[in-house]
This record gives sequence, structure tokens and C-alpha cells, in this order.
Amino acid sequence: MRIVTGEPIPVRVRDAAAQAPWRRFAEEFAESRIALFGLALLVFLAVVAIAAPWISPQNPYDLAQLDVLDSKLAPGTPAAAGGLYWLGTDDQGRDMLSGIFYGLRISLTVGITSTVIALAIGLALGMLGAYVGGWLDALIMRVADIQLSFPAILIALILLAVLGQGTGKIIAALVTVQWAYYARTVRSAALVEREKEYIEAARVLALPKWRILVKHLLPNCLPPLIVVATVQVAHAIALEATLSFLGLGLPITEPSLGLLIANGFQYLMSGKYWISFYPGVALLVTIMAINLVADQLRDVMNPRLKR
Amino acid sequence: MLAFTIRRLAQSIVVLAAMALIVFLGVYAIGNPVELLVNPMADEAERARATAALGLDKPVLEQFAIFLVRAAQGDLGRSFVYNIPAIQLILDKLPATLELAAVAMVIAIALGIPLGLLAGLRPNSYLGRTIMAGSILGFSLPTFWVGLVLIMLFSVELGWLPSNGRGETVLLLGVPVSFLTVDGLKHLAMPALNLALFRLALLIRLTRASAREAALQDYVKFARAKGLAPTRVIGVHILKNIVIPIVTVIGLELGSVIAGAIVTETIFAWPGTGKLLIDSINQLDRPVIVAYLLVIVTIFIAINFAVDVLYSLLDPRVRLVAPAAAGH
Amino acid sequence: MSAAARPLLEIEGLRTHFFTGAGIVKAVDDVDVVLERGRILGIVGESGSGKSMLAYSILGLVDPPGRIVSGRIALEGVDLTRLDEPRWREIRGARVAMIFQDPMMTLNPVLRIDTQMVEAVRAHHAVSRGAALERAREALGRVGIASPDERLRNYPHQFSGGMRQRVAIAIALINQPALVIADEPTTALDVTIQAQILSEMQALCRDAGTALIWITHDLSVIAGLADEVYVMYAGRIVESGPVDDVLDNPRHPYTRGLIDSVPSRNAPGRPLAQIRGVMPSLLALGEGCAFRGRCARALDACRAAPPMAAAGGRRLRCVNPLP
Repeated sequence: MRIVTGEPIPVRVRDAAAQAPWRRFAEEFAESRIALFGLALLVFLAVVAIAAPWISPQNPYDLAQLDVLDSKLAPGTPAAAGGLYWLGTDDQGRDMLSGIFYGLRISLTVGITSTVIALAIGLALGMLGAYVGGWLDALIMRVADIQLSFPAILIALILLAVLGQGTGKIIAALVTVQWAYYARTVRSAALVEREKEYIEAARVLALPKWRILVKHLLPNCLPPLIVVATVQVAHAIALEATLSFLGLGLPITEPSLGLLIANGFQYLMSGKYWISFYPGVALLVTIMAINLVADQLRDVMNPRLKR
Repeated sequence: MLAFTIRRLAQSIVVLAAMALIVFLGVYAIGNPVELLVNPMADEAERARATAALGLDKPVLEQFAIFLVRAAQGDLGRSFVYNIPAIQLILDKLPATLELAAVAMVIAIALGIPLGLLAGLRPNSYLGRTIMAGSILGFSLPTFWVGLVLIMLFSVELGWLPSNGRGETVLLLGVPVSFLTVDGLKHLAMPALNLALFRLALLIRLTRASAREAALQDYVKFARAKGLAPTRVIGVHILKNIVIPIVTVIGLELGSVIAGAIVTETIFAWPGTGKLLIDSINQLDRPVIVAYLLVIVTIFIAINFAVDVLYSLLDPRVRLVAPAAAGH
Repeated sequence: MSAAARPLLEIEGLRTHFFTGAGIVKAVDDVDVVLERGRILGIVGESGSGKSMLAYSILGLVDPPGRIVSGRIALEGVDLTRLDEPRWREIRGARVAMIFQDPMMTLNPVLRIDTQMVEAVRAHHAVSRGAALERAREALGRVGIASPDERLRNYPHQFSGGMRQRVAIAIALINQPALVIADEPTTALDVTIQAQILSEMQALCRDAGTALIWITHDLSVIAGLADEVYVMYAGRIVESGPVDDVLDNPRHPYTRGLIDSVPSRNAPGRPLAQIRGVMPSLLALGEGCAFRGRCARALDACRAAPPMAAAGGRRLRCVNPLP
């Protein structure tokens, strides 16, 4: 088998200086058609999630619209009130397609919210540690390291066992599980920056420390933070789904995709697979789209694979 | 080496103690288990007796102190639900979980590394691209949903495999294992595969990325310039370089797979510690929750420690510090 | 022509191109090389001149998106470009060996030195590990490494930079190749070590009758070392000939520029002479002489690709050379 070492091309193919960094980034990102497809898919899902109340054939949580006689119908069955149950109905007679739209909305909201909050906290703590240094820095990093050595699901389970159910609590659990990734990313970026010579120069010029942090550290840790955050959104969505499936997640009044899957579990054996199957497909597609985008982001921002 | 070992050991004990405290205090805050175990019609006196019997009337810190003392002697309380020592309950169920976890890891490693190497060294080939696409899929699939689909396919539709429980067990070195019986294997197949999937995808991605990076290094070019056969260049030069991060990740995943078993055990009704945990959370069986967490934390700390030691043994740059001024 | 009189290495019309999304990069463009046994050839050029690609082409280590497009590389009469991979592998490391620039990167950091040396021997000779180790020991001795037994059991990071390069040289010479290609082997080393390694390599090659191609961007290195020099620019050879002749009487403006820019040739107190401009991107070369953008003697005629003219052992690719 011939080993492809991928020859480094003996000339700079792109004239880097001539292009604005954003355009170059967008171009490099667009080199992967799969990533573009993932991005398009994400945008589509986001639109569906935001527009759920308007585009769903039925509001599955409006009891007046439900007819329990319509329950557990197979996909493609026509509805008594006209129209079609494209993906069938669940045990309460709720239209699966609508349930998926609403569920998507909740899953995405919870995932993104928790990631944003965790990012803010992790970034703040990481910068704080870099600024203050010394024992505080060491403490923050120790706690982060120890927490990261435990599986997320375990930490989330314990927290939820203690805190109980509720949207806010799920988000709190998801945030707790994630913040350490961001703090650690900021910290590694800080370490790299500290070694660079211009920091020495800045210090010699007696620039205030916070200036150095904001002007130099922040822009340099943003690329890896973005990559981490994107991946973490997918993890958060998956984790929330798992927790909801186990019955420890979001309350029944706000069913995310995970809860929809859980609802259908008991009907699996009798062959009514669609109640669990289709929400799972929606979940899978969402997570995969995010991962496709995150992969390309990581490749584009990885200095070691420089083209 | 010795200083390192002692330091890590001391650290581990501190972490263990801290975890015990957090866990104990946290679990203390949920509900009142007495309500669950006592007849709702019971009067105050009954409740008071039950509370006293379970030791719940003492102040928190005292309960914790009693707990610590007993824990040091291996007594982690009795299950509120089953009324047998919590630690015994955990240890009874541990072999089932460990077996599931071990088989899952074996599948992930045996398939993950070769596939990852293939994808990393032939990134633009049809096979390489398929493996990558597959790994992204495997990485994105929600484990619990895959379990459902597996049941749907192999149990309901095809009827080939049983969908719950553990198969026949035989004793291996005093521990009941099920992979040595055909019935056991049938029961193991789906849960192990389900648990392995995510790790498999992870290992493929990691191996691929490491191999790709290694293949770009000068020492690979130099090895080829020596006229070495490709099998040697891959099997020795590249592999020895990527084995270090891979082993580290495998070590970390060992812990994660035991935790991940919680979900798989719930779906497939596998009688392990994961299912026990979920049941205990729902039933507010505090001693069992605490015992589980402590056992798991201990296992994790042990695994992390072993991985650290292994890492320093594998990497000669860490193990052998370059002697100063070693000639020119 | 009898085997003894045939040159060791004959390259005719070699073209190694890279087919990238942005265009075709002609890394090596119509290069001819003639090298006799035991002679030392210096190849001089800036980064991007194609000198390393020439070396990789000879060894068959050009990977996609690059490949040898046309031309002939005859080593001891055998055309390497016609060989399949297994046959080429037999020749690499046995008849022709290569030394790279940074020894820390070329020696595998997680393998012991003896492993890396023994495998070089056993890839080409069916000998026992003990016999291979013996050869390794000898090779280390030849490059001046003391206590070879202990050293064999070390890892690369336990050596200093100069010693690591010596190990790389030992590996290159271990199978007594007819040709060694050294790609900037001293660039990553201290100046004091550089001189040592240079003279050691020269002695080793003379003693063993091994031909040497020394690739560098540093003219002063070539002056004391090589018999012949080729000057490369943008993938093409622009001037070649016996080293003293070329350095004393350069005819190509680029060669003149290179010689003038060596610091020791400049009077103290005056600004250093340099060649103005930078090498153009190999994607945007167009027709004609690649140097014309930076040449003080450029004419209209330079817009057509200048042919290679040969006279009296010297070759020149210029339509308006220095007198």
C-alpha cells in the first residue's frame, strides 16, 4: 500500500495578505461541500424550529385539537379533520410531525442556551485565572481538570438527582458539564500567548494587564472557542435528550425530542415504531449537521494542517 | 517516579473525600425518603420511628461523620428499598456492568484502530471517505435511540436476538460472566454493540487524525527514503507515535463507558449498576446512590492514575530525561 | 560507453509538476543533470527554486498532487522513472540515500537509534540482527560518535543537534550507496558544527567513492566543498559548471547577484548588496525567463523562454549574460 504523505506544495498557493480574514475563512470553509451541506441543513432546521408554531399542521399541545381516537395511527394515515398524518400519531393522538417541530425547537433552544451560558462562564473564569494567576488560576484549572475526568452524564445525573426537574435545572446541569471545556481552552490559549515575544514587549512597555488580556488573549482564543462551542452544542443536545429519555430531564409540558422518543419506547414491541423512530431521526440529523460544520471549522482553524 | 506516584495518590484521596462530601450533602437535599417507605396513613409516631431507624433525625454533619466512619470500614449503609448493605448491592451488579463495558471496549478498539489507520493513510480514497462519513454518523447517533432501533430491527422485525436481560452465566475465577455461553452472547450482542458505537466512532476519528498528522512528519519521509516496506513504516513508525494519545483516550473512555452503560442498561434491562442507579434515583434510595457514586469515583480515579503511569512509561521523551551536555 | 565510463547519474528533461486546484506548479522544469562517480555536486538556490523537489524526484518520493511528468532519471544506467514502487524501494537507502534538513524531525522520536539503523540495513540485506547491529556500530564509529554501544540504545532526544545529524549521515552511508543526496543538512545546526559536518562529509564521501549532491541556499558552503555547482531558479537550472569557474566568472545575472550578496564579499560599512524583488509565485510564471522581473539586464528577448546553452563544461540559460 502506498503511503500518501501529502506533499506540502512548494509555493504559497494563496496570496494571504491580499484578502480580508473573514473572506479567506469563508472560502476555506466552503472547500468542503459536505460542510456546506451541513451548514445548509442547520439553517433549515433553525428555520423550522423558529417557525414551528406557524408551520406545524397541528398544535400538539392544544388539547382541543386532539382526538384520542386518532392515537397510534401509522404514518400516512389521513386525519379525521382532513389532511394527512405524515409521520403518524402518538398514544395521545398527537401528530408526530408537529411534535417533532416543537420538540426540535425545545431541543435547539436548550442546547444553544446552555452552550452560550457555559461559554460565558468558562471564558470569564479562564480569563480571570489568566489575569490573577497564582493560586486562583491553579484552583480553577484543578477543578476544571477533575471535573473533565468524569463523564458528563454522571455529573448531570447527580446534579439532576439533587436539583430535581425543570427547564432551568436542566440548563444548569448542562452548563455545569460544559464550562470546564471553555475555561481550559482559554487557559491553553493564554499559555501559548504568554510565551510569545510581543507579550514581553507589551509588559516592558508597562501596558496594563487587562489591556493585554483583552487585546491579545481574547482574539487568539476565539477560534478554538468557536470550534469547541459548536461541538458542545451537539453534545448538549444529545445529553439533554438522553436525560429526558431517562425521565430526569425536561418536564412533560415541554417535550424535547428526547422525551418524544421516551414516550414511544413502550410501543416498540407492538410494532408501532414511528413514535420513537422519527423524533430520533430528527435528533440524529440535527446532531450530524452540527458535527459536519464543526469538523470543517476545526480543520480550517488548525494551524498544523496549514495549506 | 515515586514522588509522582505519592503525589497522585494523595490527590486522589482528596478528590475522593471531596466527592463523598458533595455527593452526600447533595443527595441529602432531595426529598424525604421516609415518605416513600412509610404508609401514607402513618401517624407522626410511626414516621418518627422510621426516621430514627434510618438515622435521618440526626444533624447533617453528624450523619456525614457516621457515614465516613462506616465507609472506612466498608459499610456504606443499607438500601432503603432492599434492606441489604448498599455496597453489597453494588458489588453484586458490578460484574454485569464491567462485562458489558469490557466487551464494548474490545469491539471499539479492535475495529476502531484499523479502520482509523485506513482512513488516515488513504484519506482521499473511496474507502477512506466512507469510513470518515460512517464515523461522523456513529459520533452523532444518540446512543439510546440506536438501542431502540437495534431492538426494533433485531428483536421485533427479525426476531433474532433477545431484547432484554442478561444471558446464561458461568463462573470465571469466581465471577459470573455471560460471554462464554451462546445464550449469553446473544443477550450481550445488542447492548455491547450499542455501547461500543460511540467509542468506535471516536477511536476511528482519533486514529485517523493522528495517522494523518503523523504521515506528514519528516520521519515518515526519512523512513521511506531508507527504502523500508510500507508495512513497516505504518506498523512501526507511525503506529508507535500515535499509540500514545490513543492509549490515553482509551483509558479515559474506559471510565466513560462504565457511565454510558447507565443508558444502555436501562434500555436493554441489563442487570447492572447503571440500571440500579436510575432505579435508586427514582426511588430515592439514598445509600445506594451514594455507594454507587463512591464506587464509580474510585474506579475512575484508579483508571486515570493507571493511564497517567502508562503514558509516562510509553513516551520515552517523558521517561528518559535527556542528559545535560551529552557531547555534541 | 562502458559501465565504468558512464556517469553515475544522468537526468534528462525532468519535469515534476504539482496539479493543484489553483493551477499547475512546475516545481522542476526541464532539468538536466550529469554526475560522475565519486564527485560532489552542489545545487544552489533560494527556497522555492525546486532544489528539494529535484532530490525527492530522484528518490521517487514525490506525492500527489505532484508527480514526475516527463524526463529520464538514469542511476547506474537504470531509468528510475520506469521502475515500479517495489523496485524503487530496493534502490532507496541502498544505492541512493538522502539526508534531510532537521535531524530532530527525521529521526523517529519514539524509536531507539539501533532500531532505526538496523532496519535500514535489514531492508536491503538478509542479515541477522546481530550482523546489522555490527554494521551500525561501525557506521557510528565512522561518523565520529564515541561509545557507540551505549549510543545505540539511546533515543533521538538524548542527542545534541550535531550528533543527531551525524546519526542521520551514518544511516545514509550504512549500505554504502553510490549516491548520497543531502538537502540542507547543516542549515538547522550551529555555525561551528556546520563546518565540522561539512568537512567530515567531504572526507567520508571521498574515502568511500560515494557521489554527493549537496543542496543549499548558501553559496559559501559550496565554495569549499563541491567539484561542480548548479544554480537553480524557479524550477530551472540557470547556470552550471566547475565550481571555481562559476564562482570566479559567473555569467548569469542571478548567480552574480547571489555571489555579491554573501556578506564576506561586501566591504564593511557599506549596505549589503542584494537582489531586488522576490522570487515570483510558481503559479504565475508565464512564458519567458523567470528572473526577468528582478534582472537589471532584462531585454525584450527575455520574454521568450531562454534555451540552455552549453560551452566548455559550462551551461547557461540566459540570452543576455554577463560578459
